[in-house]
Amino acid sequence: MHVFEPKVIVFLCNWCSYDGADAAGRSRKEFPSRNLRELRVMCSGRVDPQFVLEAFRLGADGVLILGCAPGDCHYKSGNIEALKKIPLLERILQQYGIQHERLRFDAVSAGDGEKYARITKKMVETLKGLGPLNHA
Amino acid sequence: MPQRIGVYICECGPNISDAVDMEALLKAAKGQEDVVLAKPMGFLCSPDGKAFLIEEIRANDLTRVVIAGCSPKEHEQTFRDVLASAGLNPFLLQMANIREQCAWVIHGKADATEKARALIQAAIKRVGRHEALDIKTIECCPDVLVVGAGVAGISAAVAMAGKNRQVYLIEKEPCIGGRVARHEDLYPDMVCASCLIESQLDAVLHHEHIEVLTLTEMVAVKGYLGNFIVNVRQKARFVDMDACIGCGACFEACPVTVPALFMGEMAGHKAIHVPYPGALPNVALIDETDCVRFQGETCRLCLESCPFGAIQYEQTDGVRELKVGAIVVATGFGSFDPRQDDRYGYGKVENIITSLEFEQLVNSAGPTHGKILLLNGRIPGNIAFVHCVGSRTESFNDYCSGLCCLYTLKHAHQARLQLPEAGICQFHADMCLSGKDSQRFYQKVVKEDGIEFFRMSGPDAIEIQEGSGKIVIAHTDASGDLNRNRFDMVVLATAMESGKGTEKMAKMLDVKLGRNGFLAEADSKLDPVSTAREGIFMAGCAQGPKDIPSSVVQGHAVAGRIMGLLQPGEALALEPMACEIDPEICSGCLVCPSLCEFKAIVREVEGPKVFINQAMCRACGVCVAACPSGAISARHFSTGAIFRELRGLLG
Repeated sequence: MHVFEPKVIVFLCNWCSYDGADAAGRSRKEFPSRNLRELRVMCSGRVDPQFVLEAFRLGADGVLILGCAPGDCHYKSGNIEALKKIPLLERILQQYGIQHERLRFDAVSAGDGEKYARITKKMVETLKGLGPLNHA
Repeated sequence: MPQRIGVYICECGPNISDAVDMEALLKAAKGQEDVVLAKPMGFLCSPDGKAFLIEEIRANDLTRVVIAGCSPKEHEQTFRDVLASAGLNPFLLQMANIREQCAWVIHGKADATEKARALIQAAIKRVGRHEALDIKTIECCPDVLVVGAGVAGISAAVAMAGKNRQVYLIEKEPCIGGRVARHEDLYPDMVCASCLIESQLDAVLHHEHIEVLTLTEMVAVKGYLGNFIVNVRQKARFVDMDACIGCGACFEACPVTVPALFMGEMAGHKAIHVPYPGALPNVALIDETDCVRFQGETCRLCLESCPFGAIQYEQTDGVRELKVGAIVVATGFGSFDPRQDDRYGYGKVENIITSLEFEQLVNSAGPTHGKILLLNGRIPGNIAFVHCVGSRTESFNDYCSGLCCLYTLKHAHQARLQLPEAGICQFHADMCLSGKDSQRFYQKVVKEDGIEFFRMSGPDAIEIQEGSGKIVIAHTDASGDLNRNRFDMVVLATAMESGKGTEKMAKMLDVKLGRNGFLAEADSKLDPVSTAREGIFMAGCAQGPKDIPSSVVQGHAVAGRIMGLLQPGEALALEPMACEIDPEICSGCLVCPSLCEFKAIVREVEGPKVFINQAMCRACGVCVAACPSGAISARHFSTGAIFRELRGLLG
């Protein structure tokens, strides 16, 4: 039987979450890395809503945007700007018939490989529950 | 002309080669558009690997390079340098992280190979969109403004000033030296504070490359690292700094006597005075609020008595513009006001004073010439010292200031030296004695001074009230029992808090305050003297409570940071990835300027549009994501490059 393996685009900021993802690798955490496709940006606030839409259009089953913890943003408030776009994006996605659970923003500190593993694991589980994104 | 992309896959010993099918990856890479070659290599970061890459780039006329291997956080700079050595712009590189984010965490070879293929494909697609970026430079000013001439600011100023660097040291008070200059003795060795600091103060005042501006405050700041323009306002002193030698002839002539505030900061003095005996610079000043001349009278006694013609009634406040490359905030601390908590009886019951007031009381230049006296002029029979006033409590400050225990021991010791017969007690919940000399000092005081210690169940387990002419301290001890003791004098060791003007200063400088009101560090562990705004630094108690040596260390640290950044005669490198606005597309909607945390987006002088100051942009790209017209481009993280990367990742 074919098992559904979702693909998740993970936007990582250069200063915190990218290091968090590396930390998960360095400490050989158990998480579904094979389902993840990481993309580095300088700041999570750089993630243009059209990147998210493009990711879904190209076949991603889910999108994670991971930034610095509130107050720790290298650019002071870029993470907050990223977070502010989420509710709008969720509404747009729903109009395309894409469940809002397929998009998630969270914070991962540099070195917090544990949290990175936890968030990605949960996202992949959620997507497995939702099944593949059926493009019209 | 098509690109010539070279793809190099690092085996990283067995780290990568054991986890993936190298042959399959090389084959997949070779099949990509514009890829002219794909090769494996044992260790690309090794000297052999780097030499191999340089040779490869040159021999194959490569225009772009993809390196698949470890995290770019580990070796991106290494390989950018390799590209530069081979004559290629360093930004024409893209790394695919197939180690940390693939080989190390995917167990099955087929899965790891498939993910590595996608990551490499994304890098290849992206690198075709890379542009050669030049590192532009900008002229910078190596001079520095230090705000606050306490021990931290002075240490920074002396460390930085030199042949090619001017330091402006501004101080809002009429004299320099801050709190330390007002102390009598310092723990643990009871050295004389003013003797210790006086030579430093002299050095500052006579330094060829330090300009000291007293009675001066910062009023406006513009610019960025390397190029700040600061406006400072200097209050009129009404005395010529160069002519006055502080002889005091005018003090005698002045008809206005300002009474001493008991145990306050000042002894009794005249309307024209120096702030305290020994204050430096030793130059008089006229206090407008006390001088009768400024209340409309025609008194000219000081002017007539001055043998040097130094009195200048016509002086006015002056504003100056200073050009500096960096700013150091060393504005010191404030103290918890115990009036905020009724339990301490401060301000209501006589002879309850704060430790700073006690410091003045034992100071030979203080209101009692160093004698520990009660308000009625009598010698106290017993004194209590209370620890943790306003600290380690959720009601006020939850932190420990870290030095009150030690100075309170010092105060008890000073009291014992003067009052051999007096009862001297300490009320404490814990004893914070960190540092290499503190325990020794504590043992000495305990052993030699006959101090009685009362341990409270917590910092808040105390109530101080008046009771039949004495001060009654009720405290709950460590076993939970309530005790009452009577004293003639009580000294409250108040928490060190952020200075009064810190918030205003932070606003003016556009830097953040931390949770406790002190200035926030760029990184509390690795960069504790920098604020998050480039070019703005801090030292001493503006950053947090600390003792004298730690303040000096921060003064020196800040000097090191600045001297490393701003070298006289050298230009400052700008962020090569700084964003840019296309004026043809910008509609002038003004969404972006408010999003820029670095104030890099500026409006045109005439016209509705905005442009990005390349010296201030930090390349976060927040404005790019927000621009509704798509007028802003992020260099290196361009929309086109990210779209291509997405296509590679999902293809």
